[in-house]
Amino acid sequence: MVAAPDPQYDFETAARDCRPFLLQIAVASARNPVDAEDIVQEALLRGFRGIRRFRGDCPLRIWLSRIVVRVAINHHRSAARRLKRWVFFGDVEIVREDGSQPEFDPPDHSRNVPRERIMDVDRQVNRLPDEFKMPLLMLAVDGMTIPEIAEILEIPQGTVKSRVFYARKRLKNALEKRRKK
Amino acid sequence: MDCQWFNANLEAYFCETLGNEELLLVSEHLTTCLSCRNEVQSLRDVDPMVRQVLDYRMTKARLAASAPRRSIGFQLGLAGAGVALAAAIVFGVFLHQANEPGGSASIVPPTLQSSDSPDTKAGKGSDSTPTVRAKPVAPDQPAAVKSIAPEPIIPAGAPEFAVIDPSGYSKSLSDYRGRVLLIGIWSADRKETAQNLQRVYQALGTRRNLSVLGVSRRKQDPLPGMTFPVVFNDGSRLLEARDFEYVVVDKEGHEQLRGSLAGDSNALISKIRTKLEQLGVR
Repeated sequence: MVAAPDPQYDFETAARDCRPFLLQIAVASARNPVDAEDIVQEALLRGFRGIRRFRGDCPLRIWLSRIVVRVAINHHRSAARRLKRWVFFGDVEIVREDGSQPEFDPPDHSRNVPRERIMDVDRQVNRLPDEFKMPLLMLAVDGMTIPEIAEILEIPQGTVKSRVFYARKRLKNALEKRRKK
Repeated sequence: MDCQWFNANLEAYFCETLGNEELLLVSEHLTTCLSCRNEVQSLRDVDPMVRQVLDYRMTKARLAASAPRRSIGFQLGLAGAGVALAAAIVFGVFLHQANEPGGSASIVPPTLQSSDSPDTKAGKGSDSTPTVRAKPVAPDQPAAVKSIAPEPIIPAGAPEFAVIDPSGYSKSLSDYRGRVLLIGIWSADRKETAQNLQRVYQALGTRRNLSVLGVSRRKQDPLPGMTFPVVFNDGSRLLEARDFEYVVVDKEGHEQLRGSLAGDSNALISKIRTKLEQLGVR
């Protein structure tokens, strides 16, 4: 059950709570992770402007994630990639005043693997078509489930599973091919 | 249950659409068949790698987000410092030009006069001698200006070919191994060469095993109507290609054709088409 949206709902608080999650969605959706911050900022701005259209039929973070995915796709297509950097929520800066970081950064499992190897896999992931790449990366987001991915991408759950399977298969084949060279 | 059936239903196994009876048979098969077990395991091993990629991307995103977050005052100060630095460089170049030997007429003539004065005193010199000797000073001035022209930015030891696509990913020649690569050096300064490269791309770009790249030496926006993939040089020698030249590289990375993008586009297309057909790109 999803609670109806509270008219007094503090969007700013919600944005702060969702932000780590949204940043991961942006990183999973964007072609270039460097753009992820811009994408989240723009998505939050659009969400703030269109909050009246939020019907409350899904959690707010899912609704905002959909906006993030749409912005990420448009961001990639747009010729003007250098979007203006919005300083919209003064208190949701990436680096807080006391110098602490928000807790969006997942534990660094990559330390045990050579950086070149990760970069190589990253390159191969980026070569996957968006429709395969997005579900695969989203599945790696903390706590993300197949039903949630299906809701965000607005496709059936079976399609998500199928795309994740083919993404895995393509990636595996690409990495094996590269290893043989 | 055999390996063929299992491979045909691998997707259904991963998508959890197999019935209970089929699942039981699959689990029995997996306990006995090593190759199928390895196949399943290798597909499952992809997930931790993707997780590492996401972590790596998150780190990049965090670094990018925290680096440019500065106040407007700081940005204005930075811009002011940049302008001041540029002014200082221009002033320094101006001073350097003024002090260049032969670069200023005010320094050279006195030395000529002093060397000529003994001749004059000896009574051998004529009035025309100093003016004749002073003449070579004038052609030196452009030479002095030339000497401060910017040096080539790309050092000799730079990589042969390294470019960055608009998304920020770097590519080298090895990324195009197995495909014929056509690169064209374009710039917004000479639109007709970019238009010729566009015509070449429209005529030949859809061929299999061919990659066409429009390389620009600095980061610049594509011109209207440009649809060929645009990349930017990343401090490489760009296969020694000069501005507004194109180079065709075969599947093994060897140069096969080189020429200018300027001139008649039809002649250019037919020349490249002939070479591509020789290289087996159809």
